[in-house]
Amino acid sequence: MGGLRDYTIRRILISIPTLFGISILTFTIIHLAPGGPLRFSLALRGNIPVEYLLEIEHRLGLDKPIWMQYLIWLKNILTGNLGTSFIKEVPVIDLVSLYTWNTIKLMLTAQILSLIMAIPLGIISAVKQDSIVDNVSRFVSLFGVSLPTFWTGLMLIFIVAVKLDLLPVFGAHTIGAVYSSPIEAFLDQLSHMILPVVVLAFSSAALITRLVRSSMLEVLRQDYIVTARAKGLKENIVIFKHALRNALLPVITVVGMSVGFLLAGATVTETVFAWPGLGRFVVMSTFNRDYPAIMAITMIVALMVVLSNLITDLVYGFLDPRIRYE
Amino acid sequence: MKRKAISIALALITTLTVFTFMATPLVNAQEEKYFFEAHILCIQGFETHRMMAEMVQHECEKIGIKITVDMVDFSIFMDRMHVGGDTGELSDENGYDMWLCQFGDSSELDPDNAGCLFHSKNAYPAGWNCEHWFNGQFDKLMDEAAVLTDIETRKPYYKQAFEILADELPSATICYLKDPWVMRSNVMGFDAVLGCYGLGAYTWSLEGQEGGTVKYAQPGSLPCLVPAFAGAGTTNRAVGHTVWEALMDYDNQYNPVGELAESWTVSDDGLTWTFKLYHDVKWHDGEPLTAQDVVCTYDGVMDVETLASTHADFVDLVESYRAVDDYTFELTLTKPSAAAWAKIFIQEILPKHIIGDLPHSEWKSHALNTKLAIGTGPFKMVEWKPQESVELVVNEDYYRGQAPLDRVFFVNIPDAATALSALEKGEVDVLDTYYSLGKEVPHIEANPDLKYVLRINPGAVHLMFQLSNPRLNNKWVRKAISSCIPRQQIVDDVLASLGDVCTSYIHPLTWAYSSDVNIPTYNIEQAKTYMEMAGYDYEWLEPPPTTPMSAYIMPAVGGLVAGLIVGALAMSFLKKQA
Repeated sequence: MGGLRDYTIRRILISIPTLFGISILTFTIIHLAPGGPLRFSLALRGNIPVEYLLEIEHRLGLDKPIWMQYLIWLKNILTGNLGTSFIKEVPVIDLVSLYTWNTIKLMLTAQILSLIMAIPLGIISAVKQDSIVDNVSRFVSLFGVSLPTFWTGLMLIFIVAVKLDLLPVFGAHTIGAVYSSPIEAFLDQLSHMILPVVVLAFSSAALITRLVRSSMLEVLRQDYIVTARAKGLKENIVIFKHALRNALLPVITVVGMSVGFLLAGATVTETVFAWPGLGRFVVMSTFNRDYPAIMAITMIVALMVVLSNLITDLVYGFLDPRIRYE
Repeated sequence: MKRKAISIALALITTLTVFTFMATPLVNAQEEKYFFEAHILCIQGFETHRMMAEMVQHECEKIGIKITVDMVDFSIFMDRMHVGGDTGELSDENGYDMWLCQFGDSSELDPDNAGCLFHSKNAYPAGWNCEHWFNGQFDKLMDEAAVLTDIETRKPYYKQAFEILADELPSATICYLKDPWVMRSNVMGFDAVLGCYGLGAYTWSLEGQEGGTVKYAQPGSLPCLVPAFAGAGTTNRAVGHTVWEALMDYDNQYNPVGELAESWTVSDDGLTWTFKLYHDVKWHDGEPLTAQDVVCTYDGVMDVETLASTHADFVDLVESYRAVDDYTFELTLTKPSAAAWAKIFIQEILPKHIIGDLPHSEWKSHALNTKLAIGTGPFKMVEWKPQESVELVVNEDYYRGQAPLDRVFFVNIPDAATALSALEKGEVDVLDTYYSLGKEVPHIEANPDLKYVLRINPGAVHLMFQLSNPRLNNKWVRKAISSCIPRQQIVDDVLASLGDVCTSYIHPLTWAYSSDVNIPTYNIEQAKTYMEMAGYDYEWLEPPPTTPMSAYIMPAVGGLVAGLIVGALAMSFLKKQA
């Protein structure tokens, strides 16, 4: 197990230059983007004396050369200070921590739900190839992959929330609700989560189902499966112990990578369902050119992607003991 | 046989493709008949603006001006506008030739504000005049009218000033928009002009119900809680005049009325304003409001370090002020100004007992702005959940009497379709005009649970010209373009009749409007005359001589040769395969 520990430490060390590179890249790009924060915050105002402009510039630290601004940002972030939002003048950490938690809640639930739906469906589709289950799941997953999330979201709102009146339309909880018990509060939250989670899980599950299916089909044709069956092993053992473990390797890769995609998809889903999450916040911050907020979110997302990739690589080892971490 | 067929088919396709490619420029050259090209800049996401720009584009083609419509995101729009104002760069660099956008200049409050796009003192970087149009006569008239206080004396000045604009045409106004406030049928007392500004929310009630809760949805989230720091309408709509209050406010005719001021007097020279404050006003934390609060707030706004958006107007207009006693406030202006109330006295008052001891540079990051607003208005703020909602509860001790509602929520729903679904279901009660639900009006009328109130937006949609463009720096060309704007058709088709044609620089409902000052309206023949007056001769625009048939020989030969080569290659390749 020493190999694993060394490997993990090495991977974490390697991710430091990656994050460093991402930070330089993002910092440069957002400063190159036309329309600075100054222009935006002044956009809605009338006459502006020059000393007012200079005062804002100075307050935001925009009067320094860009490399100096980067070094100041770097120094701050190394001491755990994510900076102050240009637009709101509150520490970015306050805003981001709230929104990140909301988004993670949505994403994790969606990811788990999509795995619960996709893996069994994929297996059945592969084992019972060309059966009704297979055809239906292929048909439905085709929809899942190709329908844009905002459309599925709006349709679900229209049918489930408005016409059938089963679930709430928007938000993370009922506005102005007074709860008599924590259970009631939890149930209220849960009911608000269902639609966005289903929308997110649907598109991601569609992809994973197709992947599990094709990967299973590939594995089921291998010689060792024939051997296993010839030895007289039960079909269940052949499928779950011999085939599934091997078939899941490419699936894990995609699931690990999909953290980034889910975050991107969450932006649309959060907008449609008015969910107070990171996705909406990053869009708003980008439009406002709120540099510290954009940097903070980029770093958080980068960190999440790096971490999920690390976890993916570690999971490989459990699925396939032949993989050695050296 | 099959081989031959495939090869011939390939040869034919190649011949046709090559011929088309080579002949297209010849055909196009016959259609290109224009004097010059120009770009119209629009903000991404404003579909109605894009449609208007495309109609102008279509009409301008008829008089020989080729227009390209550029859709860019808001921040780039602002950037291009400022670069244009700064350096005079045009669309082919980082500026603009023309922009088309709805622009609210608050001229409905006082016509002096109408100068913000045109007065030379508002040139970049100080203000909105980015188009490099300067006119000494206009400036003089505006400056002279600004220091007068009597409406009747001011009228002729503005008439003359707007005549200059209508003749010089630094911008062509297009239309006014009417956006619906869509709401549940049981919401009563909703004023179309005030909306939730001013004492708007104070009069809302629910039919057949004592108290109750109204949930108001708007697409944008609040950046912060003090309007002077926000620079965004979302904050103003949620807490401006519901929680915060100012000395003065306006009614639904845009006339000044007192808010915290029970009465006020203006000295004969128009310089000194004396306000009598209501005696029994309490901050939401129980402290009494006095003239000291007003002094403290004005001190803050006067200091550039506070970064209040009203700073510039204060520095320009305020000479001195003092608290005469606890309930009397006196302010002296640098010059007489009838517009002072709309610039100075609608500044919301902040509580001295909370932020009075802090340095001004810390006001913006204080909890009052970032967590909980404590004002004097008809509603108290309970909680702000960023990106979700602002919760207000009725102020039972309000000095004008308690408002009918118990609770108001300002909810943030970014997507218009989601917001409409939430309204239909009753999860929210009112939708903001920013959702631009004009197209949904028939759908709303068909639903007995819903109704709407139309808000006439007093800011007109402008087509603004950049005069550093030498082509547009000719008033006859600008008049020609203005004559190419099919305003009535725009109102009928693009706005589905939810708007009014606009041919002036100030809203017809205001006192400074005079019906005989008009800009050139839609008339293509007239537009051509204007172009001729600008020196463009339509004989130049006669279609070029028809391309002789001989010109098509080269493309034909090219096509044939290419076809033969491809056919031969295909033939030999297929043979080898066989």
